[in-house]
Amino acid sequence: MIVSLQGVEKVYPPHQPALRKLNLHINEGDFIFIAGASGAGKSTLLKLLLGSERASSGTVAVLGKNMSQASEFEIAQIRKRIGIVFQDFRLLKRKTLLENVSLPLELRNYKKKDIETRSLAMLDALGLRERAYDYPPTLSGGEQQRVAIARALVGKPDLLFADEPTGNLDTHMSRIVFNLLLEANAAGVTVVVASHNLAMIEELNLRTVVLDKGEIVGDFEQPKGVR
Amino acid sequence: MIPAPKKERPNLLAVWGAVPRLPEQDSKEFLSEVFKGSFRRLKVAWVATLCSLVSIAALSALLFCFVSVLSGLKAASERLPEDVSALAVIREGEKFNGEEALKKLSFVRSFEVVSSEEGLNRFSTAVTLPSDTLENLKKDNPLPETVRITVASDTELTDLKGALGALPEVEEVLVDETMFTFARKVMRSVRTSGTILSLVLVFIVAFLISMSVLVALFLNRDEIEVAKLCGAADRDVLLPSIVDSLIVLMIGLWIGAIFSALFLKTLSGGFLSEAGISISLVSPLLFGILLCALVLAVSAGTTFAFLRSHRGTD
Ligand SMILES: Nc1ncnc2c1ncn2[C@@H]1O[C@H](COP(=O)(O)OP(=O)(O)OP(=O)(O)O)[C@@H](O)[C@H]1O
Ligand SMILES: [Mg+2]
Repeated sequence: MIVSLQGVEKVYPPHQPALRKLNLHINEGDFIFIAGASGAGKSTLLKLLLGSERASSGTVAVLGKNMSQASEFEIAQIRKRIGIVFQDFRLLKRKTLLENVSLPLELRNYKKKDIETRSLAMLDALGLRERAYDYPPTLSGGEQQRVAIARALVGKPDLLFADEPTGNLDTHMSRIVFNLLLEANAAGVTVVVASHNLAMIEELNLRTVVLDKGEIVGDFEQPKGVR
Repeated sequence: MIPAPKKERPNLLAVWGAVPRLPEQDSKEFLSEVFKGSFRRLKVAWVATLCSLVSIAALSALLFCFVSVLSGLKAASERLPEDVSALAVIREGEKFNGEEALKKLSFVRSFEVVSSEEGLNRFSTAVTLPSDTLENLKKDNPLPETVRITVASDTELTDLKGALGALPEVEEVLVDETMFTFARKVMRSVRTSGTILSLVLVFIVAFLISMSVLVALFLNRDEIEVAKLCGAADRDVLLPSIVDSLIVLMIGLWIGAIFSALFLKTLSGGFLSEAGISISLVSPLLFGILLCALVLAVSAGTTFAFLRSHRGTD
């Protein structure tokens, strides 16, 4: 099991409950949706998996490590095997697209030339090759989202977390992005997508966990027609 | 409708496959990258770099000058006692008989018995007097026989004074004690205040450096947060910041050293050398103080930075 949550609760200080008694297991090679209304706790769940928030109780295990016991350095090592698309993109405004996409590779200390080659190829795959030397604020929301996806995928992660990766994209672009995620999945990447894009979820018809007010209210292998 | 996932997916696999398996960089390359990155960052933030360069250079120049003058003063004060002597005045018409006894006293460096004729000779060569006055002086010869004694240090002067005063032929022993202790006191206070001041300077330099690390981290806090979420460890974040400020520190110290050397050179040609104070730029004290500043700065900067970056994680 690549991700395992057992009795996980998250209460934001002072007392804002976000997740309640959560049990969830994700196997290697899975493609899984986390669905739910706004405020259901999807982003919180991903933050726990990334170790940027700690669970109030219960155990969160990612890639075989207990995230609440891991040291700062161990968490960094785990994050190097994870690709993440943030809901708010979190691109570096003062760096070019190429530098943004290069970041995960630079943290792994690859050779400069290899980093550039691969990052440019990644931008190319998302149709942003020509903008490689532009800065994020000059891009549209959808373009920025694609840069975020490029950054998440460039390092060939073992695990991919995507928080609302198609929130700013039209149907056409959404399909391109999901195709890319499916491609990554087919290449062996475990993909976890948080989304309330129900149309897309039904279209893909893959395992979907439904959250409501911090609780899992459904876990469907094939969500099509469940609504 | 989305097409069903195909077995062959050339796009992404081609990207990853373009560089089959990226080789890990060795640590030497990693460090050189950190350094290159530092110079790039310093160039981008050149205003801040210039400001910290100037302040570090000024402070270190102050520090250098201070410590150099200080060590010069210290050396001068150590030399001081050798020049101090006592003067025994022998009673009129009598001769000094204590030569053997003086030789036995271990703290007596050297002594010289100046007879009354010799004293007059010296006096007449030192002072130009009208010839008749000199003749009159020679006839009467009012100068007593004297013994000039040099001792190793001032603490022995009292002993010497007692020993000489006990001799029957000695009329009185002159020791310029008041002058001597005053000089000592001045030296001592200069030394203590100098040491305190240079310690303060060390702290200021250290503070500046750690602040520059902190400011670097603060300015890049958004980037650091994202980098950490993408898998940067604390040291990946800290090392560049520390290298940045160390580079600025080194350059600043050199500029400060050069300026203070020039300044001291003009100074040591002037009144300092007249006062018998020689200044060396390469004193062990100086190195000690600089080392302290460096260690303090790096450790303080690192500690603060670690605290900060940990806070940034959650
Ligand atoms: N840093 C925080 N401090 C306090 N409460 C928070 C914090 N982050 C999230 N919450 C609360 O936790 C609950 C879950 O938030 P979360 O961001 O996980 O929702 P979400 O499912 O991602 O919603 P959306 O679809 O709008 O992104 C919400 O009630 C939210 O107000
Ligand atoms: Mg969210």
